[in-house]
Amino acid sequence: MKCRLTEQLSCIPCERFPDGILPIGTELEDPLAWVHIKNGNAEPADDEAEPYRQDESQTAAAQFAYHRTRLGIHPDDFAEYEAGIMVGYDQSGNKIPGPNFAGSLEDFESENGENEAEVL
Amino acid sequence: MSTFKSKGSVLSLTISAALTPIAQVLSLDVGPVESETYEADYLDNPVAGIPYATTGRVEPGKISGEFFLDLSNASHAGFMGLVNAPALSAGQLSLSGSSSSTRSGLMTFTAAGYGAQITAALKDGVKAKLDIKLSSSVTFST
Repeated sequence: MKCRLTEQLSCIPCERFPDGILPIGTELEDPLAWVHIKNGNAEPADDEAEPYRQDESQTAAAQFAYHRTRLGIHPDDFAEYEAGIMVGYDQSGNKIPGPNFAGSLEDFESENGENEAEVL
Repeated sequence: MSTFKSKGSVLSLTISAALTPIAQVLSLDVGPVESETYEADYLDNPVAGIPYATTGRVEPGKISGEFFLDLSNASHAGFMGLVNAPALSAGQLSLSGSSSSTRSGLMTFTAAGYGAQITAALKDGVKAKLDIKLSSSVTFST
């Protein structure tokens, strides 16, 4: 089964992809290639993969969920991530403000609780 | 000294060449990663303490964890695919943040085998326990 990447993905650096990046357009042939189609990162590249093709809205929803997972967003924070209020977590696990964050950083800090990663 | 929250940690496995994050993970246990030792005691050992020595080899252990199972989720179905079609593949565990600038730690490993156990119990969601047997050594970095 073959898929063609529609989005740049990462991999563990190897001989074929020494920089750890799978560029857009890369064709992957594997029995599990459909996973990338269902994640919204690829399109079918042969007849075997064609049944896994998704429409635009399905692809967009899958891509959104994929990136949310990739960033490790906790279910408690799904709404804020979806609204662009936060975009991920810093090294301490505290929220990183997103483009739609309108409050003050203190709001986030108080919500995050005591910064346990503070250097003692 | 610093301590870190678990929030934002991501387990990713290579599925069809690309690192694929596993969704809805509840917990992860790594190891025990341990250096192999042997008992180096002998009959006329003059001291009471039993000596041990290292063989110079490392047991990489395994990764265990639990996630809310959704077989319509591509990463979950993909994991089950790995269970049924085992092959050596690389993976990584990113701690507290997914990019090199935000994470607090990164563990890269080679997975040699996969296991899954599904549980459906009263007063709980459908969950799957995962086991990933690691091969060779594990690399820890920031």
